Amino acid sequence: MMDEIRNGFPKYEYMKQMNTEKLEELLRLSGSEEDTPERDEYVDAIISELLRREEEAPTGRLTDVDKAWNDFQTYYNTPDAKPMEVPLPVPNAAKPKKFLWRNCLGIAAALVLLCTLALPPALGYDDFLHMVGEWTDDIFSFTPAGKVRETQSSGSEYQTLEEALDAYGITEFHMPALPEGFELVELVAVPIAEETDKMYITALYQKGHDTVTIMITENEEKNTNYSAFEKNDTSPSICNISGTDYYFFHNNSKETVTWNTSILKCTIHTTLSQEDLQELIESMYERS
Amino acid sequence: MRPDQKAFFEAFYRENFNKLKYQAYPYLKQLDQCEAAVQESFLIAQDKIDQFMNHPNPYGWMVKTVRNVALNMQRTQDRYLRLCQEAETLAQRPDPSSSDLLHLDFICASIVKEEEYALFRAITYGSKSYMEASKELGISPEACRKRVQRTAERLRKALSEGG
Repeated sequence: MMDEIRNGFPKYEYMKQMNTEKLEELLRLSGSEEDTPERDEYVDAIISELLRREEEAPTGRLTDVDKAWNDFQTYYNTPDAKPMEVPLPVPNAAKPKKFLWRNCLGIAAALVLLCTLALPPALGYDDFLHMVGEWTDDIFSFTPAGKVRETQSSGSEYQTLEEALDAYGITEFHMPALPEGFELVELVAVPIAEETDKMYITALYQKGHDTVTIMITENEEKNTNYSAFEKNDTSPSICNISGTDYYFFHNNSKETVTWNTSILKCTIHTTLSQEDLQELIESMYERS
Repeated sequence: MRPDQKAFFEAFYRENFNKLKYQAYPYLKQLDQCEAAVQESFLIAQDKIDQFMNHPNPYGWMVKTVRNVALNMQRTQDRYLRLCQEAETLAQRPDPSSSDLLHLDFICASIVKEEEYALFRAITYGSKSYMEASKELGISPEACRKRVQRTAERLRKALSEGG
């Protein structure tokens, strides 16, 4: 970006004619735009113009970096400091590949079976077309119609997953019986988006090197959420219990099961075996 | 951090702090809050120093992290604002811009202490940043954030039970 600051963005030359307040207003408004490379370039152009002006004629908008560094060392980088939990950028994130029927008849057959099983009366969905599982060689997803929404996370003060579920009135999830010795090490409960009381709750349990992660997302109206899971190149196995389809798949030495109800999207990841995972699911029914 | 990581981190911090501050501006709209978002983001970068340094584009990594932190802060702020408004509507207190807390007896009596509510309110309405409040209280911004979080949680529980 330094080159752009020096040389400017030719496409956005017009910004030089605008006053600083107008540029700041454009920057503020850009927050509601979708995150695209074009939007990034546009924002970078505004920032580079604002920085250029401040370098030429300082107005106090820029932070004294020495002071900021000192504040960082004194007030932020303290022994009790706990970094905020937010999704971090991942290099070379796996992208869904186009599904090719001719490459895998087995998967095609499984998809047909899935569509047959995913009838709304059986599953209790209002709109099943928007809530069927699909997968490629390396991604399994529940794909809704509509825009992808980001999920942000932060710490939670609940002591147990059951407590968090109670607090948010989530009664449709029944806690599985974890194998003995697993302890809760992290619990996060946050709204799935702005202006909503729908929650995303995740709980990580650990015993030695083994982990069990339970993730529960309340569905927004019209199922505007999207979820995708990395998987290996075998098709998920589907197990129907009491009208709910459970999709089991394997990736990176971990087993995953994911399922939807009319109001929840649930996932369990674990380092345990698929048999253990199936027992966890069965235990939910024994407890309910 | 190893010495080479420390050197990279500080040089990156100094070179990019203000650019990153503006990256938070579309979400937080106030430069002091943007500054806090960047500081929080650097705390994350320090914690994930290998991931950050080894990323093919550390600046891009940091921009995305700043945006996510800013969005997180914005959403938290929105939730606090709704809580504050709900509590004060219940307290029949018509002027939310006033700093007078005398009529908030119902809130302060049993749910949170008056000074806790005052801090929560100052942060919520933006009259103080976490940094300013933490300096006044002689605690870290993290401890200050925890206090506000606890206040919000108690209010939320009380309002949901009472409502």
